[in-house]
Amino acid sequence: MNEARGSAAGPGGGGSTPADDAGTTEPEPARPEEREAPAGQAAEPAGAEPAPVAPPATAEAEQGDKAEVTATEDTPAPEVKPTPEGDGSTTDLDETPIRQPRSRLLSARFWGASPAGLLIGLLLALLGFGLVIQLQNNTVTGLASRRQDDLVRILDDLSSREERLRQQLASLQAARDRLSAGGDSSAAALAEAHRRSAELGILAGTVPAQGKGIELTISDPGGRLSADNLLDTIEELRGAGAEAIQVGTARIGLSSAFTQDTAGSPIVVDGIILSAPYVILAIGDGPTMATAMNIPGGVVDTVRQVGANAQIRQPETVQIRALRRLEQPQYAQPAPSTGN
Amino acid sequence: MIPAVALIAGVVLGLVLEPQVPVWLQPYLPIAVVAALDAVFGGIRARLDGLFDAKVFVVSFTSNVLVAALIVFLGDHLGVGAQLSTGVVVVLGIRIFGNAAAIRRHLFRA
Repeated sequence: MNEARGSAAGPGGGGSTPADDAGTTEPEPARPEEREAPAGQAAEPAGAEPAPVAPPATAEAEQGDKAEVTATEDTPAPEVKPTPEGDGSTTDLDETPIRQPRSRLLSARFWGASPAGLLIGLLLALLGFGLVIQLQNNTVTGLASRRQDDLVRILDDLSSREERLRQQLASLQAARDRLSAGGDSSAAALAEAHRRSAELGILAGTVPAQGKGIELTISDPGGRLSADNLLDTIEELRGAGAEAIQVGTARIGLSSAFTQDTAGSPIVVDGIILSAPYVILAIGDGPTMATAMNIPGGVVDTVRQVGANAQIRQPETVQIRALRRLEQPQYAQPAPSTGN
Repeated sequence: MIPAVALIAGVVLGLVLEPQVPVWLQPYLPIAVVAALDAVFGGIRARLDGLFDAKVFVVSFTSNVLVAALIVFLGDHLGVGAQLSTGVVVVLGIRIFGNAAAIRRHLFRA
C-alpha cells in the first residue's frame, strides 16, 4: 500500500496536502487530475485488479461505449503506473474484463470496496458507535459524565444553595417561634385584659357582681329618712370595704348622687326614684360591714333615731344585678404612666 | 455506499451493545464525536466538489479526533477544560455549518 502511494505521490500528493479535513480549500485547477488520483490510489492496493484496468477499458471503449471513452481519456496517468506493479497478476486479465469497468466505475466514484473505503467505513462505523453511546451515556447518567470542573461548580452551586436555604429555614423558624410566642402572650394579655375589664367593670358598676355581703333593709314608714342618711350609709359601707353597692334598683358608682328636692319628698339616686323600704345590697366582708353598721352612732343607730328601722342580713351570696351606664370622660385623657 | 452502511452499522451496534463509556474516555468522547462529524461533513462536501481524497479523509478524520481530544486533555490539565471544550465545539460547529451550507448549495442549488 505504501508502495502504491509512493508511486501515486505525483498526482495524489499534490491534492492531499492543501486539502485539510474539510477538503474544501483545494485549488480548483487540480481537480480533474485529483479526481482520478484517489481513484487510482483506492484501486491499486486491491492487488492485481487495477493493473488490467487500462486494457479492458480500452477494449470496452472500442466497443463504442461513449461513457467509457470519456473515462479512458482521463486514465492515462494511472494507466501507466499500475502496470509495472500488476505483472504478478496477469492471470486475472481474462476473468476480470467485465468486473473491471464496474470496479473502476465504483472507484471513480471513490466509494469502493478498497482498503481506503473500508478504512473510511470503519471510521464512520466508529463515529456512529461513538455518537450513539455518547448520546445514551449523556441521557442516562446525569453527573457521572460531567467533567471535574463542572462537578466542582455544581457542588459549589449546591453548597451555596443549601446555605441560602438554611438561612431561609432559620429565619422562617424564628418567625414561627416569634409568632407562636406572640400568640401566647397576646392570649395572656387578652385574658389579663378581660380580667381587668371585669374588675374595673365591677368597680365602675358596669357589670353584674355576686359574692359575700350584706343586705341592709331600711324601712321608713314615716318617710323621715333623708338623702343624707342614705349617703352616710353608702359611705359607711365603702369605709367598711364594700366593693359593689346597689340601692334599690340603682347601682352605686363613682358619680352616684343622692338628691332630694325637699324634706319628705322621694329620694332620687342617679335619676332613679327610691321608695321605702330601701334595700341596700353590698358585696364585701359581711361581718365587717355589719359591725360598721351597728356601731353606736352608726347607720343603724342614726336611722333608728330618725324613726326608721334598719335590718341587716348576711346571705351566702349577694346578687347585684343593677348596672350603670359608663359615660365617656369629656375632659380627662389617659396620661402616659410615669412608671414606679 | 459502504460508509453509509458502516455508519448505520455503527449506530445499530451502539444501540444493541449499549456499552458503558470508560471514565477516562468520558471527557473526550463528545468532542471527538463532534470533530469526527466535522471531518465527515468536510468529506461529503469534498465529494460533492469532486475533490474527495480517501487518504485526506482518513488522515483528517483521525487527526481531527486526536487534536480535539488533545485540546480537551490539555485544557483539563491547564484548568480551562470547560472553556476550551466550548471553544472547540464552537469552532467545529462553525465549520460544520459552513460545510453544510456548501453541501446544501450542491444538493439544492440554493
